[in-house]
Amino acid sequence: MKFKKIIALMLATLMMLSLVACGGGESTSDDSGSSEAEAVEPSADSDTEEVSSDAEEDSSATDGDIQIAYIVKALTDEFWEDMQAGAFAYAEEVGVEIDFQAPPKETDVEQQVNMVENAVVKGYDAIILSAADSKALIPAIITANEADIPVILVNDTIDMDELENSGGYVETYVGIDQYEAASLAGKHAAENIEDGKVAYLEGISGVQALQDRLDGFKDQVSDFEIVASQTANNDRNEGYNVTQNILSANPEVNVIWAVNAEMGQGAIQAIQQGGFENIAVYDFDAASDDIAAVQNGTLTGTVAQYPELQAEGAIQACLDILDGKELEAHTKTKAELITLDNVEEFIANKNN
Amino acid sequence: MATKKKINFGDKSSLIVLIALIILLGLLEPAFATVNNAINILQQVTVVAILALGVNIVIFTGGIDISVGAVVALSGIVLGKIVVDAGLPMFVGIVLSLLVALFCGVFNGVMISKFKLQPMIATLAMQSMARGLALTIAGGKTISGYPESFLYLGQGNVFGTKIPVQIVLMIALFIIFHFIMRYRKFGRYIYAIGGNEEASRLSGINVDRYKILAYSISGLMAGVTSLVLVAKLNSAQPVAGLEYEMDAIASCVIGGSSLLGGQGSVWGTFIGAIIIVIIRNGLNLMGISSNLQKFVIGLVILLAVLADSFRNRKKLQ
Repeated sequence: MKFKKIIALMLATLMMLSLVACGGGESTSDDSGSSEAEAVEPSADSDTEEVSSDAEEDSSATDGDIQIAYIVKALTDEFWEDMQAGAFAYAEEVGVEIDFQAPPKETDVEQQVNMVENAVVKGYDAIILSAADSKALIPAIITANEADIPVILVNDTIDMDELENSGGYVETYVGIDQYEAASLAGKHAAENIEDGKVAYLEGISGVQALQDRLDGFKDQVSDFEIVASQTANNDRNEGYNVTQNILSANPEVNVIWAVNAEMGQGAIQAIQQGGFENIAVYDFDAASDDIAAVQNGTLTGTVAQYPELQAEGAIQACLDILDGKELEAHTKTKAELITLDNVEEFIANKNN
Repeated sequence: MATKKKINFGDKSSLIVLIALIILLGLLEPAFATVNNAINILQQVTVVAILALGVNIVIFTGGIDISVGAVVALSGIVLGKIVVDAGLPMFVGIVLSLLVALFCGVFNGVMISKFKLQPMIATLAMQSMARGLALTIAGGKTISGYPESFLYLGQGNVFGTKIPVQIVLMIALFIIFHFIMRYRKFGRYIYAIGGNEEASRLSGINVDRYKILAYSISGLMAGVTSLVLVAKLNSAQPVAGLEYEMDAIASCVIGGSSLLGGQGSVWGTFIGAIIIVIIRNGLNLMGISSNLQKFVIGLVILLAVLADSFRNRKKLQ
């Protein structure tokens, strides 16, 4: 009797795993399927040949078979989804294979460390990493260094001094200059708002990029009065609650700077439901909610950092490194402040 | 042979599931069955396993402790504040942070045994209090920069070998706990209380005292886990250990411990923890999204609990 049970358990596990394996396969084939479908749709059946020859050309552009582990902080945010889409699209274009991974939450630092270690064991040709913590990932990066696997940072920098002191290195950091990008929003606020009373929504602690965003804005608006500065852990609901609290204690606030889109959206909700007016909200990311909010006037400005371009830059950096090229320490990508003035243009570009 | 037979793996189905998983993943993913990956897995299991070891004792008594993840964060922050910010010796930091963790456990135990609070509620309150304190003390910030000698615990190898120190610590703790739970009065009483609390009381066991001890051990192990985690990451974070209690409880359940108490074994929990980590590791190597990993682990927990409930039903018949 007991034997039967064990067999049942084993079968169940087997079933589950095969289900998962299929699921994984499905999603990747889905991705390539949908982009292929787009290409094929306008033309007729006979054109499929063309598409496949296209693909052949692409893969022959590189030596084929390059496998890259692309490890980000989470997949719970539109930003990461856009980056993932951009990464898959560019990977297909240049003919490399990427495994896109992320822990369930941005705060799961230990699990991200495990993912990097696993990627080293698997022996990828390169690892692209968006570090969830500016120090904790250092030992894992060193493990990759020891295995001669190049590491490219994307979107999030780490504590470079500490990395160097520990004897580790990364090939390059691909991304916007967070400080400069945030100062675009700060400049706009300084130019357009008189007698500013500002509330800051800080991000998850210990993340260098988020700190840079805070400083970049702050330094532009040094004559504003800082009424409150609190973290809402990059979360929309927390952003809502924290803003509500700040506004009930300090109704005179007229500028809010949220260092990510989720918190910015939470702030907008709180402002609307509280019936407040004349509060200029700025946030970071230019997610689709942000763009809609800029259009209807609830968001004054949002900093676009083009995750697709970052993904392209990171994958290109991998290819360059594997080709033996030297890269600069910072491969800068484009950032832009989106306001009512240029939002239509931004949408038009995105749809192209 | 006779001594070998004494090792109780609880219900052997968890061991068989583990072996099946290893074979299956080995076939599916070439990078899985390698020495490097085996060391990786053992390194990745230390945090979950040590945490689960403590929670397991509570579960043996028929209780539950969902505060451990937050206690991990709190004692890590205490360590960081003392060693990095105040510049006191490492030794002082370690002792005080373990004491804080122990105190959280004692507090849980007293609330549950003396004030008759439900374990779930009492430890839920502690979870929130510990997390809140960790965030407050840290001012929301990460604390990093520990001496090399301490980082050795989470990153170093035993002198002259390639065996990580944290693995040795984990195995040593499991051996000690196995011995205590199986051969010492303490262990037998804990099982007895979980099996039938009223009968244990009537037969003269000081139930309250042993329950407080069980929760204290759970707290203390959260403190040890925190040391390993901080040394591993070279940083103490107030948001560390979020939902770790779920992994710990899942390890116990998958390993054959019954949430009704009185059943299961220390080694079963070890296997349970390895199963969880292997699923993550294997799916990771295959490049499968973590969102799906969560689903799979949920499914495994469900299967383990179903198996447990079938076993219990059979016993009653």
